[in-house]
Amino acid sequence: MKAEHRVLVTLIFLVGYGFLVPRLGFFAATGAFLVLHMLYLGIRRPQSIIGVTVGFLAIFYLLFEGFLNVSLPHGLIY
Amino acid sequence: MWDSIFQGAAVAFQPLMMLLAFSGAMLGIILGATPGISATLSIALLVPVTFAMSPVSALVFLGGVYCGAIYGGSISGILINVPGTPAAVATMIDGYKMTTQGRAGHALGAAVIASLIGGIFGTVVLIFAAPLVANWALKIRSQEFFWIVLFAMSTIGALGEGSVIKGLLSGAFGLLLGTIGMHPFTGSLRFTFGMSSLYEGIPVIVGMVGLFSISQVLTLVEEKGTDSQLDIPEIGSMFPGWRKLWQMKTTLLRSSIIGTAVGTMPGAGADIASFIGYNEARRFAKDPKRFGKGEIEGVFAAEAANNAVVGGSLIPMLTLGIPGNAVTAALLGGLLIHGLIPGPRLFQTQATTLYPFAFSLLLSNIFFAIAAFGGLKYLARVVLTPRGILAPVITVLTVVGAVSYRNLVADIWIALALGVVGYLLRKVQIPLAPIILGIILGPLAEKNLQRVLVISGARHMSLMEYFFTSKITVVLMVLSILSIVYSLWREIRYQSAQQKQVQA
Repeated sequence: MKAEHRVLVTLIFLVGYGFLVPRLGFFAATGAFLVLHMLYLGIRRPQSIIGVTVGFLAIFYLLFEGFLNVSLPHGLIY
Repeated sequence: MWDSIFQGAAVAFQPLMMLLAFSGAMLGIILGATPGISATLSIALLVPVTFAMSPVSALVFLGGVYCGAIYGGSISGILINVPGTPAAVATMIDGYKMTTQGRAGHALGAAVIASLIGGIFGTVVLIFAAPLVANWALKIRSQEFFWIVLFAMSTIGALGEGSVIKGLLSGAFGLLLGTIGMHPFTGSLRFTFGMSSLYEGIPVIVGMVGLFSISQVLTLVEEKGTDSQLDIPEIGSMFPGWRKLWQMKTTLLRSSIIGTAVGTMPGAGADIASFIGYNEARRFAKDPKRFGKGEIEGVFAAEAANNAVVGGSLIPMLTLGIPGNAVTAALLGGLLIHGLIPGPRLFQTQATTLYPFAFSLLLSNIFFAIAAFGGLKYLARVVLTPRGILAPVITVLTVVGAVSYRNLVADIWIALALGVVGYLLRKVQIPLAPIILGIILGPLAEKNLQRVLVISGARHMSLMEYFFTSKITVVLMVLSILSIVYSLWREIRYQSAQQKQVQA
């Protein structure tokens, strides 16, 4: 059934995301995850996808690396 | 006492504190209004953001979120019949009906005013009652605290509508999870499966975001990702009129009292309070049949009750270290991270932190009301966020929260594992909040039990003999037994009602 399929695939996405964070770095992994997961779940409008991804990456960058001085995992890319 | 109150007020009115309260309230409204993000989740997700703040700032900010979120849930409930938080389900009954009748504005306005009044009532009670309870709490030592925790755990589920056994099961599971890690006295490792990341047990914040957020993500994706409403209904004027407000004075007072009282009880939260408030208003109404058909009093009753819970739930949390509901359990996790150890001594040692906090709650209530009356037309758009965006975003926030706590990637996996467990538990309708209570309170209870064992042994008393040396303990033991008996009775009634449904 469709619902279980979505849950399982999402789980795979989550596991993949967890793998990539230390290897590719938080920002790269998050960027990839957001875009791919949104596409999978059916979001098609480019403004939404790009807006959300860029927006959140920017917020996290400013908030954590800049303002709060909490470091997020870095890896191969960033 | 008045000294502390004035000092607390002075701190709360500092520009930075007011800014934090306001931003917390705004964020709270937005998160609470978003279907799929509950008040508990909002707090859990935002605790990591407060890592670098001072404890007072963190509390002020999170308190604002708490107030805003409990109100915010009503927005989506009223406009699109989907509750933003469980606390808004009762509001939805008449609120959404009013929207279908073209009276969305009045429903929304009623929700704001009721939330404001209920919230202020609860906070005022908090400000005056907390020191009194805290004074009494000085008499609480290890054995009393142990029994307070037992009593708290025994009340889980007893007040709600669903199965009590499931609530207790979930609490027991939480206690079990709480044993993971090093034993507080002997240092032996329990349930760590060889993983060093578990030596100190499941970190509360990781447990919270994993259990609540990830399970929520998995639940969200069950439905298709893009089915969102096309637009929100026209809102129009929000103020229901002074005459109406005056008519509602009894309802508002009654709901506020109900909310505050229910809030203090460990097993019950804003959702239960709003239902009791709603039902009582209907019971006392001259024409109960109007409820459910778009009766604005229903909205007033439900929303005043659920926001009054804020103040009520903070009384046991701040004075005894016992959370009054899931949200305060999350808040407690936040306190722990800032080095504030919950327990009977907290109020004595941290009055300079807690009084400003209580005052900032008053401000937060006013702030969310201002934000709502000022900008609801814009804020309300968040209810349209499609799941396809919500699910990935919540996931990212969760991962950030989990990994930023102690910079361990392993925490992401702990969170994910708990998330899957939480998802499965949701499928069989086992509540998740008691698990967090168990994880936080279990180790505390165990430490105290250890002390009690040592002391009673040193005095050559058996454990029960030692328990009986304290009147408070005896009362708590009796209450716990009564609570279990009542819970069993409730459960039997619930099961037989289920049976009848199946047969019918």
